[in-house]
Amino acid sequence: MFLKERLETYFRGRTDHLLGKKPRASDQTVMDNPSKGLIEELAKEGRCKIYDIVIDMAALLSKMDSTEMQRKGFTQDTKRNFDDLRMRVSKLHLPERERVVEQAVFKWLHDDANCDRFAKRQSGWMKQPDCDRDAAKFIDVLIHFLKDPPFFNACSTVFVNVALECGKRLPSASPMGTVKTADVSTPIAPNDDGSSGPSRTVKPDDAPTSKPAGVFPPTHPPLAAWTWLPPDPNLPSPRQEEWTHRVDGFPRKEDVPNGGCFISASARGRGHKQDGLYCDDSSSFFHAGCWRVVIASDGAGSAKFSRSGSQVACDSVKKELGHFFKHFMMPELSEHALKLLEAEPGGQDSIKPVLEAFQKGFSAARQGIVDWVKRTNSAGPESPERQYINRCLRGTQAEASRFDTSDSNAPLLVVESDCNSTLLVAASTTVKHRKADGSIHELAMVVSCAIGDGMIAVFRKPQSASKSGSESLATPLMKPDTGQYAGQTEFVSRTTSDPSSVRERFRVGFFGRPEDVVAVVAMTDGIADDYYEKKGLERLYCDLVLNRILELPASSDSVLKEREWAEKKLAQRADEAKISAIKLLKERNDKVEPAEKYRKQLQYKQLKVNASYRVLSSLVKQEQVFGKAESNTKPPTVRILYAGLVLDRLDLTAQELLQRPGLLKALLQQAAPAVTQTTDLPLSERLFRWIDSYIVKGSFDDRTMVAFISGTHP
Amino acid sequence: MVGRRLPIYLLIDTSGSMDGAPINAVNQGIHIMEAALRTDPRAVETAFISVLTFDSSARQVIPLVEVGSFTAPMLQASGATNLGEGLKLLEDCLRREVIANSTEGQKGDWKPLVFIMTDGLPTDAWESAADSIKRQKIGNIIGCAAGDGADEQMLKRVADHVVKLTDTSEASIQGFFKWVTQSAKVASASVGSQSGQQTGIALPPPPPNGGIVIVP
Repeated sequence: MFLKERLETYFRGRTDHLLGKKPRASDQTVMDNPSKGLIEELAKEGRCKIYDIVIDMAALLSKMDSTEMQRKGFTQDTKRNFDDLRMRVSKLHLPERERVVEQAVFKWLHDDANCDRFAKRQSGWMKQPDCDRDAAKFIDVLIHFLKDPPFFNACSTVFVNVALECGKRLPSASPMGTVKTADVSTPIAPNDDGSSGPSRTVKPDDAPTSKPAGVFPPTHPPLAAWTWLPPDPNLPSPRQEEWTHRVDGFPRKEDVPNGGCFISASARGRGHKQDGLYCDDSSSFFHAGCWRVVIASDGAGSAKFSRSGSQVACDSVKKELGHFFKHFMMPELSEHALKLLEAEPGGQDSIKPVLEAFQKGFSAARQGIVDWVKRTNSAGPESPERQYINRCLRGTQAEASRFDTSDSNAPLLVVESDCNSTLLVAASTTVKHRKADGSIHELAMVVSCAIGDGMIAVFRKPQSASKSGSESLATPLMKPDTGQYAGQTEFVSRTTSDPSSVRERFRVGFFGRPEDVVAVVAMTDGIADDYYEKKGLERLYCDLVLNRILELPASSDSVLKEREWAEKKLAQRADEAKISAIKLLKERNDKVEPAEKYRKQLQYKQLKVNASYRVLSSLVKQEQVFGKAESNTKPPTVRILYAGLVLDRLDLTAQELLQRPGLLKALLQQAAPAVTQTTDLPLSERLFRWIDSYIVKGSFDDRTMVAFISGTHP
Repeated sequence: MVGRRLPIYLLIDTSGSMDGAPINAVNQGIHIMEAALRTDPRAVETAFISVLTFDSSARQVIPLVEVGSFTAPMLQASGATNLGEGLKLLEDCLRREVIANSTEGQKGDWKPLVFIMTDGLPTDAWESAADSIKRQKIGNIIGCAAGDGADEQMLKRVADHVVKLTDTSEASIQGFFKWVTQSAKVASASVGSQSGQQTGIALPPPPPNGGIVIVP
């Protein structure tokens, strides 16, 4: 028998019990089977909260004595099951118990009048300190409702539908759904054969009319999963040795003598893992004199040799700038000079040497790529490089520029655009600032230049923002994107690395007291894209803190108090979502356009998801670490907190969250209960694990982040 | 939080002439497309599909939804061929549902792929709607003229590329949808890798002997 039918039979039989009727013989088999079996099956089927439904049943039965039970025809098996469940209810923690109540409420609310009454009462009820006692009272009220046979009949229909909906994908004939709820006010009329049949309440008119039913079976094959392949061993590895050891990417860390450290990590995107390709990103960092420089480069996926291109670009710019910064210090700056520098950095004498160095650096990056192309093309015809190039280029359209001579057997040539890469450089230092009153202060200064997409940003301590909150804690140092649609970007080329182009892209920013700067980061668009939205960088800041890459802001806030606040807020928002979901469910969909019906279905799904975040621990996600699995062990997982989810569910802005260290701590405790497993890892390894594992839908580009972090770090 | 989407619009002629085998083949074609996209992890995460129809009136049968939420509709054919209304609705949907890049707020979607399929001549004024869409360059538009009754040159007015189906047999129409699927897969695979300039989408070659010809 199909699950749906079994369920319907089960609930029909149960309804009959409660009405004091003898179940039909055909239902008896299902009823006699311990309901537990069915429930377990459902749970296996997936994600079904049938357990909760039964707990309500148990609560109901707990009010009956054994004679009454027997009179109503419950079997000993059923009774035992329910008793067992009742025991478990009584042992539940407060939040769980609330969940039980909430489940009951869910059903109760299928009455419009109740719905409104509840909405009015709810706010008051949630605030009561002694939730437990109140909850118990509430259960009593609900049980009263549940004893009302017509109501219970209606409920059991809902049960069927809810269970079905949780457990199985819905038939395509009715996108919205789901739940052809019986009218709560109308008792289910007995069918001709004397049984009451919740199944009969499934109204055919809810299905899109005029459609011939059942032409295609409404089967949806499961959605494809990503696979993991190591890079093709035949690819030569123009990579540092680290890459050959750790094919998915590698982390690096280097301490700076006077405090602070560099960390960087690159990770293959899911796309490259799927296709067995290398990561095309590169990054670099160094400190010279009083300057700290981070460099990142993203090799274009469409360019065949971009991983060489990005590597060459990073190395060349590092070499050029390294020489310069060793001996250069910014002069003292007046108030006026600061303003000029921020407004028009390209034209100021005080920074001219830096600009010139950047211009030289970017030219060197481009020259490096040109030289690499030349060198590669001159490789002998038998050399492995040559063979590899031929193999790579064979499939591409043979543009004229790829041919050395008119000889059609001549080797194909690598061209500059095969190395297409972006290039992001940010240099930070401390400058002396002379105020109008003559006093001298130290200021953090960051100089940057970028070709192509990605992001450079400066994060500052949460305490440093003014109380009004107008100042951002995360400042972008470049324009995020160009072009009307996504996917259009620029690369290092003759025109973009030209001195006048570099001068246009040159930015200078001041960020207050040096000790307030937490980090200067550069990232490729594999990460930047995931944080594109307005205030997205503050969300990134939160994510770095929540995943233990940046330090928690120090505080004396009570973790316990914050935790309680968060739990309450979550429960409240889950209730709101649930009520909205129910209201949506109850809307009549008969005359709605199919497109609208679809939208409602999606909205409903989202509300159900939102309603599932009830406790703080539900915000912690367990993501799989790809490709690290031994053949017969489960792939390892990483606990990840997503700031986006946290902010959405707790209804906070990123800045508000950053300014509540107690709450951050409470969240971190959820992510790593008891043992702080991740803090045992080096900082750079934590960064790598995070960028390698966090999942954003539609984001499967290579990810690279390189940062200078102030302060001392293990 | 949500990544960028690759919107794919199917604007299907459901006029009376499509009744019978052609519309069945379309339904089957969309169904097979759905199944095929579900097996491609990139398409699952980036492709969003919407189905629009036009006959005597135009309507959006399925809003822009991700592959995982998409359910192939059962289209029926009857009535006139009001391509103009269909195009107007298409423009409206493109404006409403597709997010363009903006410096604030969300990252824009990838440039939408639009497939327009018709088997006859329009019965309403469609030229201005076609020009409006073409002028705004709001999508990569591929026209499909199915069978002898359709005018491929006419579709050029709105579409960037036009293909011709030699007839409206089941094999031809299903061949077309296979090609649509392939295009969607290619497009969702290429979205991860940026290129210097966007010259439009590189379409895969149509299947050989499939009765599909790219109109130059």
